[in-house]
Amino acid sequence: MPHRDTISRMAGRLSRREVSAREAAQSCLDHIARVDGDIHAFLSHDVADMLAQADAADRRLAAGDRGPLLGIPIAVKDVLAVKGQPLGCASKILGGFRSPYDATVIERLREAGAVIFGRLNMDEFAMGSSTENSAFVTTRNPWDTSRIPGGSSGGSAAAVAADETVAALGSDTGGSIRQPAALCGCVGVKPTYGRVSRYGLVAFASSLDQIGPFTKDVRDAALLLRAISGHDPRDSTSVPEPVPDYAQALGGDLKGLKLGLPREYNIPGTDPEVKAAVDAAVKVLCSLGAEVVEISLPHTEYAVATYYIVATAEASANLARFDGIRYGARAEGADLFELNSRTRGRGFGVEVKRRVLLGTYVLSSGYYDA
Amino acid sequence: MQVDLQHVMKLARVELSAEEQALLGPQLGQILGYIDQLRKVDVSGVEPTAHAVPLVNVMRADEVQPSLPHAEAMRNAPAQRAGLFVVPPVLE
Repeated sequence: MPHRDTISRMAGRLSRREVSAREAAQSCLDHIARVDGDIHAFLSHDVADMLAQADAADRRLAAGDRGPLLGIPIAVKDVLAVKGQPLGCASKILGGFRSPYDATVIERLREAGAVIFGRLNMDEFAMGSSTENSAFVTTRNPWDTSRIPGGSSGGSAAAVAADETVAALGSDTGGSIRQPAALCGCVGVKPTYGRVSRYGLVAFASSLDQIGPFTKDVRDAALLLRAISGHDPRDSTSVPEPVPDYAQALGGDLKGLKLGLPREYNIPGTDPEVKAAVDAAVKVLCSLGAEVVEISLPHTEYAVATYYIVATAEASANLARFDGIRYGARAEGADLFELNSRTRGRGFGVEVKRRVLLGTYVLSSGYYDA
Repeated sequence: MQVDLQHVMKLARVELSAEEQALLGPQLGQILGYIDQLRKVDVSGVEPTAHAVPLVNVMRADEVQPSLPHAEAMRNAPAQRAGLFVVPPVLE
């Protein structure tokens, strides 16, 4: 049952030729056929394309090529461009859009020999925290299908937690990797801003968006993050800094590491189970040698209000491109204004409209002057 | 806080049904009321930060690079004719 493997375990089995990349891919596909009717992590997946990539990986393996991601199935949130594949942001406004090029992270994974597949469900345009804002289907939490998986990368988290894929990519603007990973019990990382190129990521709030990994353990997150990180001339916000071998830093003790625990994060209303889990994690970190000190981030309570200004303002500008002219769905109108307004009124879901309107308002002179 | 919803819909190029207007109008007012709490924050001792990663004037070499072929750029167009995007008349 290769689909249950972690990246590192599967890479070992592939390199020893105990399992082929095609068997690994087929194992994921069979498992998707068994469980995704209940979970709905995937919007679509291209079986023929996936198997062709797996066969190509097997040829590289047969030729003696080895690598941590060679032949590993990795599924992708419906917000990243994969050449020739649909890209919809779980929205109706993209119509039948197919990407004309690969995102930089996809290019890097292809070079590493990963088998890139599937379009994972999400809140429309990554706006939401439950994946209920998808225009197509509501993803379920694999641990209890009566519950949400979190969001906006709920499809990515659910697919990894349910072993429908070995790993996945998602994106995080205001918690969209971290929160669904926590709710589904897998590992998710929002990398530092600038670490990973956003070329080929549909922009939501450009000063916050980052692409990151969803994996079954921390070592896999280290491997996948290393593969997608690094400077890219096509994203001027990516930092020209060397990428460390994150996996090499694993396994040692934490002596000399000082961790801050912001006292403002301990707020009334926190679920006792969540508080207990945080306390337990602090104990583990201390037992490994880390020093944990209480610190203060005094503006924490204003973070959400600030986010509502920054994220919606940037979203209203970024989503202006969905106007029914160059790509995506179109609703006809007597003039350009009517065509644009109808296309956007019918193509966007209500949460996207709420944020676009709010962002437009906060950027308008009436609000700025006030 | 009151929002002139008709004006914002026009600026945003977003048509809303009557039901959506009845829902979103009051909601926008409520969200803006929530955001208004930022006015009471004393930031006099806080250094302004535009961004945590201050990269400025990122330049590339001024060289011609291959771009997306014309046919590829048109492939997703909702309406096209003679290699151009079709739009309603802008000037009569």
